[in-house]
Amino acid sequence: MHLHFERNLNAKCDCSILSLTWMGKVPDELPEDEGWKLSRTNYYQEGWLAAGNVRGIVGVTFTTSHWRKNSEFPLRTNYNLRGHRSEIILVKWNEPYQKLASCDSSGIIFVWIKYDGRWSIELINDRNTPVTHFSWSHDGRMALICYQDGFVLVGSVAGQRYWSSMLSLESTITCGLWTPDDQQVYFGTTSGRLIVMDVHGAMVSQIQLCQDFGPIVSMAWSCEKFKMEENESDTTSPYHNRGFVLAVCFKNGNILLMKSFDDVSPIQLQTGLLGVCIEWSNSRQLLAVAGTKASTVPSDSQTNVLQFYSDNGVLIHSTAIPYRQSNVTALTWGHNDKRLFIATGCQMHIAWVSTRIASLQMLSGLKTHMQLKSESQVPALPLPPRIRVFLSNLFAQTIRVSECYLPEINQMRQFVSRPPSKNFRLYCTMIRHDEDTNLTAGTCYTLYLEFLGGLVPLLKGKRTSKIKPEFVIFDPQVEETELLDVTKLRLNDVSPNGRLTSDSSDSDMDDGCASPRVQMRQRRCRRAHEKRDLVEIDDLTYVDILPEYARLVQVTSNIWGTKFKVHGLAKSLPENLGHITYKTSLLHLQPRQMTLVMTELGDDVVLGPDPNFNPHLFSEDEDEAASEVDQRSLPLTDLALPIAPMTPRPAGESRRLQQQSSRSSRPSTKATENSASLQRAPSSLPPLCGGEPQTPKHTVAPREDLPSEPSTSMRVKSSIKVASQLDEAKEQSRTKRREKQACSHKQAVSSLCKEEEAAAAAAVAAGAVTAPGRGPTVVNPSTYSILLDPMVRSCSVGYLDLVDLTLNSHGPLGDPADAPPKRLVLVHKKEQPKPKLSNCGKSKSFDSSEIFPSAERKKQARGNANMTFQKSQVTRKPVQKKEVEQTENKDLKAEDHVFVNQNDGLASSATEHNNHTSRLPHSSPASPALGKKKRNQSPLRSFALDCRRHLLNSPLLSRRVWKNRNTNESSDDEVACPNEEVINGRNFRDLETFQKAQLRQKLRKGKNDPPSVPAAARHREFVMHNKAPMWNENSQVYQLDFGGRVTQESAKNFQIEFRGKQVMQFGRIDGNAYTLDFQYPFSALQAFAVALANVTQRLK
Amino acid sequence: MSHSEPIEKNCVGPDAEYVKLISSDQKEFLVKRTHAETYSKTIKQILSGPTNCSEGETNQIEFSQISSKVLEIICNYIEYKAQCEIIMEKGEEIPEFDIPLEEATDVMMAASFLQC
Repeated sequence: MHLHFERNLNAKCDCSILSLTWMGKVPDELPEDEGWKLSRTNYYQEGWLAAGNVRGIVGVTFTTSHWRKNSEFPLRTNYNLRGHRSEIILVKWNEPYQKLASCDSSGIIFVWIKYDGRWSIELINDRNTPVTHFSWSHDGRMALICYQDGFVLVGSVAGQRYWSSMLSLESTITCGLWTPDDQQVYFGTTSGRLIVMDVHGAMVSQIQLCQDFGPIVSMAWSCEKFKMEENESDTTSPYHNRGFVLAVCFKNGNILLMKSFDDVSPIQLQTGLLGVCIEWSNSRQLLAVAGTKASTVPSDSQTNVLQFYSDNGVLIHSTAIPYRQSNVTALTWGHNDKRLFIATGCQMHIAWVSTRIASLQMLSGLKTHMQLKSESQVPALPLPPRIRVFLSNLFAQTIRVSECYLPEINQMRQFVSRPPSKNFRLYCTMIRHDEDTNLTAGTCYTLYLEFLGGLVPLLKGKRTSKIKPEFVIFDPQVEETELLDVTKLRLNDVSPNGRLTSDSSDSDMDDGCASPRVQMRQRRCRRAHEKRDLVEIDDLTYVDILPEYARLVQVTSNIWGTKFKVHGLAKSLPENLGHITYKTSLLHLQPRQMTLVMTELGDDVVLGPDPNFNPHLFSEDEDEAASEVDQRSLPLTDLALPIAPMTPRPAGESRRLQQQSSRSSRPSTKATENSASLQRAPSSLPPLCGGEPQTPKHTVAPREDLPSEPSTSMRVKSSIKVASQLDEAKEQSRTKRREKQACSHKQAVSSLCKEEEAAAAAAVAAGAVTAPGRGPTVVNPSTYSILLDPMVRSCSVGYLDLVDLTLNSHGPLGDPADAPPKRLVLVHKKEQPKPKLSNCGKSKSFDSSEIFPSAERKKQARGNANMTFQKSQVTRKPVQKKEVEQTENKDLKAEDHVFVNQNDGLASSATEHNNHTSRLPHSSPASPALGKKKRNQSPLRSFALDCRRHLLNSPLLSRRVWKNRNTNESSDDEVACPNEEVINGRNFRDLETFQKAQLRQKLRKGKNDPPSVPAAARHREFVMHNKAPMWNENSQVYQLDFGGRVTQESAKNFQIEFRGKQVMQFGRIDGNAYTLDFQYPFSALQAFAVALANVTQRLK
Repeated sequence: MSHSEPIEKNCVGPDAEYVKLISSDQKEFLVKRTHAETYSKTIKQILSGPTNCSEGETNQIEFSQISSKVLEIICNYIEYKAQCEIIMEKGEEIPEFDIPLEEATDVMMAASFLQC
């Protein structure tokens, strides 16, 4: 036979692995009635390796024996299962039932089951007595549990107890197992006795094995772990105990091979090893034995040896395990005997095993392979392509969680500054270290990737200001030139500390990290630079090995901790990485609302300084204004300053040209011309922008540059007008009409603003700043004002909010000198104007009016959109898509009546949503991030709600408004987004313009050859919002589904949505530990920055 | 590999016990024909080809691309593998086959060609 160890530096955990178990991966689809019918060879190519460690975490990690990366990965390749509160002594798959049992040292047994992509605890068994062993029967139907006190129990896989017995022995049962036919159970004791009982619990025999061998440590039958073939289940088949060999392993390293319990002449193997782990291969020919060579000379390094015995006791192969710093702790076969997983403390070794003699090609290939540092060197070798392929195949990793999951040590920076490739999600844990900073003030946070039950440090952040919640994130990668020294961290120094004591795992994890760290820290300080040994990166896994001398990213904040900017400090990063804005919340009664603007990081990202980005400049005032008057006046000043100086067109000429050309390419010029200049304004928006439906208030307020004053006042006026109109006209029909008027009026105003804004945007060359969603959004405030007069003021509050957001988003981007950064700013969720203290009640109700079960809203919006589209015979793709949902939507509409007046408020967001979803290819974050079920939160709210219901309660009204908006959108699309099938929100003055637009659109569609996207779209930003939690009436809490990843309630928990999909979630799992999961468009840096910004207490 | 006379005789003719492998630098290696054929598909194909091994002719294969050092390793490997068969039958531990590092890539290419 032949065996070699895979070079897999990443296969390690951050603490000792105490148990391993492997099973083949079944397809994700549900089995048919009979279960999975899988061919063994194929089935065992991929599998799941479960590892239980001293921190009480069970890692379930995907493994594959495919040579190449062409294999498909499951969507999630690693699970760190939390739940145990002490070290896990045993993990055992139940392959027939696809369950996992894990036992911890306190005696708690969990049976995990995978459902809907997540592992959850199905059964808990706790007898308050430590468990010594656990074993599934070979058919998977029964479980045998041995307790330290001599109690043994046989139960069903479903948790039912069949029998139990208290064996009064002078010794302890150390292991128990089923005979191959599942008719008997054997127990081994510390006194070297073998106890045999039958399947019903009757004692069969007790045999004293060689007395001088000492305690029995483990036993194993040379049969397959599970009977996977049905026809072999009866006892007459080869599964009868005959032919199988029982290996009984003693503490002194001797192994007895017995044909049955009463075998009078067992074969005795003297392995010469201590701490032996054994397991038979599935083919029952090979007994893998791993242990530490017993040596008389005490030395700090042991020799770990792996041996293989045949079932007649012949040593077939023996090899040293290339790791000396820790004893062998666990071992398991996998991949149908092609792989052997061995854990030595934290380190995992994977042996490729072949029962045949290796070919010369393999041997020489391996020799060459060992000389290469990485796979990237292979192409440079003067070899024929076929051999190169062969050689690079040797680099294949069995634990290959995915191409992009685990970073190479020399690619850390790249790894953290790029979003994971599409659809792959990184599952991370963030831990706060308070106590460890002995040198500098400031709390440290470390972001770890979850892997193999452990945590791989990715990034380290430190709070830099005592006053403001500001952070710096350090560069995780040490430059080669800076590597001066080698510090080898011995992981086994650490692991004892990593053991759990009594309380929860994460804090302990922290403690575990802490003590070695302090020393390390000091040492490191002296040495200034720490080298990570590229070959033996033991230290990768430990907390503070992350360097702290190069800053990568800075998170700056305003004094209130409500606004943050993520500032790239390294050359490899753009200066503006994004910003975060929190809505202030009165007394934190409402769930947090945050808006993220994230720069997309890709290989083509625009690097270098961004003169317009000032990480320390925050528009602080918006929310502060105490009086409403102030609120109104503030935006103006705020706005005027930055934007006013920019003159409308000239700078944006090129963009304009583009647009013009694209527009002229359409046969529909007529329509364009006809439509009022107001309508054209939108069309001047850059194509890509597709629209950033910012929140209603946002969108409008900030952009008014030149005539900012007039327009604002106009707007305010108009909204007031609308309000008064509505107030006086309570009849529904009239209201409807007015509303419509109001809308168009609004649109006029807004489009005015838009024009300017577009110009400004162009001038900044930021490209794509649009306001397609704007028309509708503008309406929003007005509807509010309709409801309650004072609402006008809250609108202005909203504006203030907006200002800040837009300023932020403009500032960083808008550098004309920069390459043509295409900016895509998309907003999903409308921002809700913050309630002021003075009109708290009202604003609350106001809020609640906006907040609407998002699903419903979405659907309503879609339904509306559909209606409109159908009417106008728009048959573009997005619409078609929606039509699928349409019927459903219509049904749902019935509910609208109930919430009529909310609809108005909702409309804007709904249409926004619409925009987004329809604008598929270009990031439209369809965030249904709307407060769900917030309405009924307080009596106050519901009261306000009722009021409004009475005020405006025609479903028609709302629908009308929507229609208006939707039509606008669709026409806008045609005007502004030549390059994709997208429907944007845009304002139309009246039906006529709309119809014309529709006509144009149809014509254009005929052309069906959209101009291509400008190639220079390099700098994109995405605007995202957090998902509003659902209010659970029963438990009186806000709820979000974190997929089992979050275990503690916290106001800091959040989820971010992008294009209607949750792309990031953050939640507390312990006092100082949080999970942070993210995927595209977040890079690890950005996600970490957002999390850092989120963990601090804010003042407002 | 032994180069003694009696073996030399044995690589003549279709039923010869040995086969002669000649390296690019004209060094000759004799291996048992059965072993060579069993453990290298390429050699087997060459030997079973129509042109070779006619009566009175020496069974020899010239490898113009394989140096004597590499060819020696290959011959050793063929013998090693034959030994392993015996060892495995006995159920004993199989020794490692060592390849000098400097020859590894060349051996790999030659082994790939010879399919051994």
